[in-house]
Amino acid sequence: MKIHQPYGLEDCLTLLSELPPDATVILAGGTDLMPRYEQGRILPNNLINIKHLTELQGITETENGIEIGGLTTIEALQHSDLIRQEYPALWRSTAQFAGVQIRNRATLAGNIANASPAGDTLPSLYLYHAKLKLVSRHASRTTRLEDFLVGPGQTTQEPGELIQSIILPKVSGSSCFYKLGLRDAMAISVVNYALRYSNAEDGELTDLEITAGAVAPTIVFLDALTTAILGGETNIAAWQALIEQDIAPIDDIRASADYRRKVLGRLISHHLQRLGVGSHE
Amino acid sequence: MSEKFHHIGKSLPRVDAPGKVSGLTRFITDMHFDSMVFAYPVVSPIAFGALDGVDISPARKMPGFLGAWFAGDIPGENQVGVILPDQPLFAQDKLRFVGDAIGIVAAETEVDAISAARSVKIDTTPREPILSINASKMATGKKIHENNIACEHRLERGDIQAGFADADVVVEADLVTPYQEHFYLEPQGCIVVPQGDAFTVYGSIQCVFYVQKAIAKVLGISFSKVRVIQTPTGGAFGGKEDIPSEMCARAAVAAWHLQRPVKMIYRRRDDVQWTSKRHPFQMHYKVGVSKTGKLLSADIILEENAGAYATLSSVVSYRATMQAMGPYAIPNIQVHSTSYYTNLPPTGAFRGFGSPQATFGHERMMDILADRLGMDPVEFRLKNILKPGQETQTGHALSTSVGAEATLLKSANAAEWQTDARPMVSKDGRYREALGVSVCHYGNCLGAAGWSMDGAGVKIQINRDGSIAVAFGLIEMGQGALTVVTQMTAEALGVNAERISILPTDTSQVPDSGPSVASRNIVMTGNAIRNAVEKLKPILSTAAAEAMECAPENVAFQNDQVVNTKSGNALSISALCEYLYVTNRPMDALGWWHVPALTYDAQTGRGEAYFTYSYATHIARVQVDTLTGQVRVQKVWAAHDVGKIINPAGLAGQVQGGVVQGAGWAIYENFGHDNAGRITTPNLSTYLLPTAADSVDVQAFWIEDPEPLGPWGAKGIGEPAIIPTAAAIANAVSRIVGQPMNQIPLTPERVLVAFEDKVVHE
Repeated sequence: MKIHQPYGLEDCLTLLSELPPDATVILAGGTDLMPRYEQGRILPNNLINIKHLTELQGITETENGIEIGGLTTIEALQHSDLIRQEYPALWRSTAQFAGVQIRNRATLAGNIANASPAGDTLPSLYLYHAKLKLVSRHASRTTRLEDFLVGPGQTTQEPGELIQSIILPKVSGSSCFYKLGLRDAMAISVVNYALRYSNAEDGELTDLEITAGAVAPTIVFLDALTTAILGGETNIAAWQALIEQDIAPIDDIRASADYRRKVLGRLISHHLQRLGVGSHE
Repeated sequence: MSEKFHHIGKSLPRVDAPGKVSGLTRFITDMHFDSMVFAYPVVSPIAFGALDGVDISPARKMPGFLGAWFAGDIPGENQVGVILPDQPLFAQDKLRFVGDAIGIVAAETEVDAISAARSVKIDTTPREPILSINASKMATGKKIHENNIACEHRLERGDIQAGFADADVVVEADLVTPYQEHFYLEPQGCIVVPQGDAFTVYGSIQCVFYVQKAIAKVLGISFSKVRVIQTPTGGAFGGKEDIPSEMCARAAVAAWHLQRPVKMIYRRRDDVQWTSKRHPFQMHYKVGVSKTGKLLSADIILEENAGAYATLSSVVSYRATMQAMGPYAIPNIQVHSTSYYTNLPPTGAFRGFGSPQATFGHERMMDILADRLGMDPVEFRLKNILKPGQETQTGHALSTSVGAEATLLKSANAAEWQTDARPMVSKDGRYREALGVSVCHYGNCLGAAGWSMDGAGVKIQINRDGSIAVAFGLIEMGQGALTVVTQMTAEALGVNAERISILPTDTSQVPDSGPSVASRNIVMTGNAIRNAVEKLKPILSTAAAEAMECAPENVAFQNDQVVNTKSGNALSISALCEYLYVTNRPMDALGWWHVPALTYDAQTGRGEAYFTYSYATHIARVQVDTLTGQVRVQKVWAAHDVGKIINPAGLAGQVQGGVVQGAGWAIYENFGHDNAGRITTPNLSTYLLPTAADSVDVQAFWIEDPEPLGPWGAKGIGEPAIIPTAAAIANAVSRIVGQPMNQIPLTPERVLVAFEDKVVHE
């Protein structure tokens, strides 16, 4: 195996364009890659270490929101006042992400490129309608995150492409993130969700979006539920079925599909009730 | 006690801490020898079936390949069963679990050895594996060994039928406890160094004498040709009791053939899949009580999953049988324990050794019975708790050091257990809390089943500069042995701890001291130290009297000096040691202690099963999230009767660690396998240990009810620290969800299902 250490982004993109895509892997934080390598699940001929590329790090405020460099670490997001104030669901997800040693290395682009259905930053990024800026040697493009992630470990990343940054538009209303893991740190989510809502002055709910993770091949919007609630469906008993319309959980080592369905419904219903939505009719 | 101690009862900082904190301690993985090679086992890819053949040609093509050896290449006996001769070093025709060793490959580098071992082609005829106790019991015509029972134990005392006839309430329940993986920080590892026809073995080892015996047998050489030296060991918890024997013996076969030092370190994933675990138990308890709350009769069936080989099942099962009804007085009892072979990794020693399982059984039953009687759980326990003069369930009348009741009262008092209000802290809302209580006893040392090997030695050597070297036959594995051995030696000799160095445990230094298990180090080594000092003291006193020109009876060892108590004159220890040397006196002594004879009848299980017991009560305050079923342990009040405290800081560490490990077993750790017998939780992201974020606030209390046979009155603590925790947590959760939680781990899913059942039934 050959380890490449590009001088800068341009050098990196050149390398990416020249090396055979099937035999080349990008090393950012390495927190997903290294265990896989250790287990013999990947053995690339070429490893391109990009961890040191400073042009891919940092959070910038823009006219329409913020732009987060792909190599920004989870811990850096956790320490950002901007994230904490403007994107509290994302901030919350970084607090519950693995443990501090992993947060120090793991990058936001890495969590996206890994494309795990249980990725902890993903429900919040979906909720904020994140876009990705992808660059290659001769081109760049912008894509919606939900178009980029297509299944477990599957993305629409093209050969030679790198996630340069994550773009979050300005958001209104309140938002939050909830994670259910089997312990309080270093836990992969059994289910997770992010929720955003706005109220009119009289308290009436005017806007509601919920995204959920670890309950489908990719993150899902619970559109059936939120549309029904915004349309006046306040009977909590009806919500479970509406949630189940948008999810397709599986049994795995952490929990059964049945438990995931049940617990997601219980958590979201409880959450909405605390926001003053819903009644037992 | 009015006796004043200088070292006993003081928190001497861990003597091994500076090396471990600074990184200077060299573990087995850091060690290297000239011309050393690396080995790795070739293992069965199937859980059950026939081994038809192996093809090593792919390995031959690998870089650095040096050789591969199989059953036919073993110079001595192909057998490493620690109690029963049921375990070949290398499987010959029958494969019994995924990871069953078939042979060993050596190569120039570690990576090459692993790759070469994995490349060996193994031809098999698979059979459908037997993967549970019930499947093993029911299997007809499908036998893992000659039959599917690894061992049985019985205990019969009184007349259980008469007891049930007298009872006002009889309750039956089934209880299930799972595997537990040790997850010691340092994986299994060893280096075998051949020197002609002799072998020196270094390794992360709990029982050096087991390894010596195993290698001698496998190589067909005498014990005196095998020297085993323990390297600093990064945790064991019982997991390095028997496994190093087979591991070192495999490496020794390669070293025998190559005549080069052979190093083998298991990768974590392999370590988890190939090595021992805590036995899963399924238990059926039938217990009768009078309406006043007196235990009258118990009929207990214990069934254990032994895995592919018996290993230590027989003694794990013995302990569970002897302690099955806990530290309570019960006139009529019958216990029948059976260990079943399955096609899963062999289960063996794990901190508690059958006791956490049995305690889960008797302590859940005590709560179920209290509930049925409408009695408070603490009150009900107090009516039955073992008191001095009463007989244990095996009919052993204990007259001294029976601190069970004191631990129960102490922890109930500290936890502000309200016997009138029932210990439910909060009943409504999303998060609900309750207290749960659990009491245990733990027979110290090996008991009647292991009596013949229940002796241990210490060699104390005095140097002419006044420094003192101590060799002991048991080991440090993280539990603090080096520190307490230092303290006990300093106390016995009346010298400063700084004079004392503890040597690495080495089979060539002291006679076979048995295994470092069963919470036996303080008792065995402490008594052996006192024995050695009894031999040394007359020599030292006579020499000192001679040097100070006084009568030997006026010589006293105080504050690191020899004092003439009449004149007040003093001689330094260094001066005395120099005087010993120049006057040509013996400067060392071997101390030995053996557990006294136990009257025990193996047919009925009656008599002195163990010479004494440690006692403990844990009360857990537990919170359940009723939305998700998640369980959190908020606090544990842990009271332990340890006879006499040797090192308070070390003791507190043992109990804190034990509680967290017990909570892990009760809540998080969910060892799994698939239908083919392959382990599905081979790493730390799938097998969930409690992290620092999940650790428990432990408040510990000590009862010092001295044991006359213990050194300075001390009893063992290593295992009692974990034993009651899981049952205390399950008792609290049962109270919260309103359903008996008779199976652990208490995963959110299991708890939520029980809670929803309760809601539906209401």
